[in-house]
Amino acid sequence: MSDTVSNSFFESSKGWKSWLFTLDHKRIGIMYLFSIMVAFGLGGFFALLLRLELLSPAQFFLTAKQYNQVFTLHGAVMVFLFIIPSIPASLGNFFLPIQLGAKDVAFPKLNLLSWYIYIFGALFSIFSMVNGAVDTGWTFYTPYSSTTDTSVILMTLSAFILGFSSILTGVNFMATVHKLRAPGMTWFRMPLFSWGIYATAVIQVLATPVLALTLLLLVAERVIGIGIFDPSLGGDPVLFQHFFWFYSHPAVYIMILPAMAIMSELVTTFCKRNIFGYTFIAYSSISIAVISFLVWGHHMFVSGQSEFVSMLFSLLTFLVAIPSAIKVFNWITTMYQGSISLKVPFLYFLSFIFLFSIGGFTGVVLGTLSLDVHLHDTYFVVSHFHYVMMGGTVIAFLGGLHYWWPKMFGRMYNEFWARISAVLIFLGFNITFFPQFIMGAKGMPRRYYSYLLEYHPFHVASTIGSWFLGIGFIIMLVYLIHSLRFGRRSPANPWGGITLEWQTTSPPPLENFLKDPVVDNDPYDYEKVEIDESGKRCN
Amino acid sequence: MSQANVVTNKHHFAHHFASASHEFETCKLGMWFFLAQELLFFSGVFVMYAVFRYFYPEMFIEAHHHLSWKLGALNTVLLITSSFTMVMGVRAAQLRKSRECFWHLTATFMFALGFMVVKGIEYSAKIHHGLVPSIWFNAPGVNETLPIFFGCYFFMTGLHGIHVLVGMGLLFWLMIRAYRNEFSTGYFTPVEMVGLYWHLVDLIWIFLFPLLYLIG
Amino acid sequence: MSNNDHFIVPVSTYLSTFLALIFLTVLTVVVAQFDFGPFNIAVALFVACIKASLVIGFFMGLHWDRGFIAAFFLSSLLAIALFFLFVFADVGFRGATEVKEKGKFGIKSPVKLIDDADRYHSTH
Repeated sequence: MSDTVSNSFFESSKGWKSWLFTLDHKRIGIMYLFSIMVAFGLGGFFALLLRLELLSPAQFFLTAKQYNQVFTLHGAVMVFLFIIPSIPASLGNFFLPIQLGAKDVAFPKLNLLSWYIYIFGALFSIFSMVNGAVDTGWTFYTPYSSTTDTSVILMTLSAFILGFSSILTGVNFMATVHKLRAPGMTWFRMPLFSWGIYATAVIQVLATPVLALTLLLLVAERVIGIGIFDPSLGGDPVLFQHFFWFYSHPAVYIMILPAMAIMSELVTTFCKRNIFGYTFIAYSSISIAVISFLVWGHHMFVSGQSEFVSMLFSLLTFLVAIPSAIKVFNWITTMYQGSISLKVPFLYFLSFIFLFSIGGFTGVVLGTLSLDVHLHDTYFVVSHFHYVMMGGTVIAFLGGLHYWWPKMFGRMYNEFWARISAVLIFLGFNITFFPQFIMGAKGMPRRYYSYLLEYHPFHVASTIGSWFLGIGFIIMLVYLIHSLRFGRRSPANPWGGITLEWQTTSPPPLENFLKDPVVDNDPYDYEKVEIDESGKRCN
Repeated sequence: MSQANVVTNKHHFAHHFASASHEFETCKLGMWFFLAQELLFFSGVFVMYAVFRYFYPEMFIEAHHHLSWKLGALNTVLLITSSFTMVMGVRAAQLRKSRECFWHLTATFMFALGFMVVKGIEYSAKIHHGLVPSIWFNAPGVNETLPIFFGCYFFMTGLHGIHVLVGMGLLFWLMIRAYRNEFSTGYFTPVEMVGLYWHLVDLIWIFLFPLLYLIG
Repeated sequence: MSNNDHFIVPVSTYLSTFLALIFLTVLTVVVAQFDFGPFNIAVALFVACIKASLVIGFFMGLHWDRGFIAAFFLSSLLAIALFFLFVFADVGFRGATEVKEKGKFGIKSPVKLIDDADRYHSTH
């Protein structure tokens, strides 16, 4: 056991310079992990603030304008600073090379640069928050965003900067998957986590530049008034929405594909079974990436776009649900006759199946033209995307974090408190967001500072649920930090997984493996691969 | 060329690659991915152009009369020539002909500089005539939506111009390295990568030229 | 360690590509003097695409690289094409159903359609 400590990448060099100038994807992944968790805390703080204000329809402690700013910042921080980088930049950075049997990502210096760009963008956005925080909603719709007096330019420029970080990460991961797979690891022997990260990277590379351009056009509109979004000059404000959603719809698949990728890992390891329908899941990741570019207009059904294109987008939106559904069916089928182990990561898997399914179904509801006319810009939409983004991505991220924590840090967290936290988060999430479906269907609009008394009980329930969530996350923060110093040292393979990361030490050595791996099996082939009690491969 | 920096055929490739060739191929792949995103980046301005040309066809025809197609054509020739000298520079680096490489890169840089000078002439002429976006627009014209064209024009060519400037910076960096003999058959990756970027810059202009200068 | 798989392209290939590009530039200008009506843009873009193919194929080396790079590049072109397509599916069909709505197309509900804005304002 002592070589698991002395061999680890943490020991290979020490001091703050060894972190800030590192080229090691594992250290970069951890720096990202820390950064996105801070971002999540900030975004969560804004969420708690706005839910507190909404406890009563009367003004509590925020003016109407401040309320607009708080929900905008909640959205912008959560989307750009937390969820887009979240899984790929932290867990993807750490585990993509290891799962592929590589020593690092394709371009380590670019990787470090991506992190620095992220930090610069984050600081820039914080600067904009304290200098006239935007109140446009995270979607920056024109004409309000081209005319409001808040610091739209600063915030959009920070999103522009953050976009570069995302693009460079995407380029890096795509090249890594193409070129750095270990001998014997064909495309169809890659773990599904790697497939998911790859599909995400494709979207990051192709979609993000359009957002970059859109934000620049918005800045140009404000600074030189080119007039393309201003009807009085001959422009078209709906054009902004087309440009914006051309990125932002694929962006939500950047958010969910890595989450789904983690699910495949969790279900196989904690059911000790080969994944059902590996090829289908792999191809569904790619088809989600492709179809995601074809549905953006479903955010714009009532914007004034032509009815013809609305019908097109609605049809395509139904199509995009299919590959996601295939994945959910395959995961559930994988559980059948498996040897299920209800460890904390698997609790998150089960939460995901339930919550993401609800989110997915309600997405199809919203994709139905006639229903969307009624539900657009209500709390139904808010609840839908929280079910997929939080109930989906965040839950999956937590599952992956708890799964891979022992591998990354060589320490186990306290299982009891982790279960408490998982349950609190699951309950808190549903109490917060389920009432929002109901009040949304009853007509409660989103982004509203005040409301009619008939919605009051729903808002109260929602706010109370947010407190459960907050407590659940605080407990998690405490036991995770505690584990870093005082947690029981973890073995190389605490869960009995058979993907490559479990065949190296916890934490891994600097070059990821003590011996260069050669692959001769499918990633989840529990029938072929045998591991002994210590988790080491023995055949 | 400096004797102190003679490069052997042994390039020290990064530790996670199997060979220098592996590193080169990976860098090339990565660069193409980056170029794909540059393409998507510029695609937005072309969509914007297309939408407004669709909305206001006569305005676009009127507007293009204010642009000098001769200067536009000159710029096109300058960029195409620079693309040629660039690719010759890559070839020279491949063949370990450092001096030839240096001069090709310098030629590319000079053509790029020429492009920017012509651009500068065009811009100052526009500004002088008040053919500028929105609030400062100050020129006679039949169509009241004329400022939109010039907003598009400045934005599209300005964005392209920034990319040319970045390219010039990269070329300058390469010129220094070529002068120092740093490229050879075993290692010419940076030249190839900048070359690919430079060709993309040329590509964008190949489309900008007819769409902005030769309407109707 | 040399890049053995990367062969050296002859100067003649580059030179002929360059000359073809110059010729096509001249052609672009010449062709713009003629009016093809609605096909003006198509003709200009067609010539531009030929020039682009030459740059991509011979200067950027895609002619010899092929494989995934070409496929990925084509996919990005496809994404751009879809961007255009859908934006024009919107912009080109705006107001298409208003004709039907003015005919009060089969509406049977008791909802009163407000088609006189002044009347609306005067009663509210």
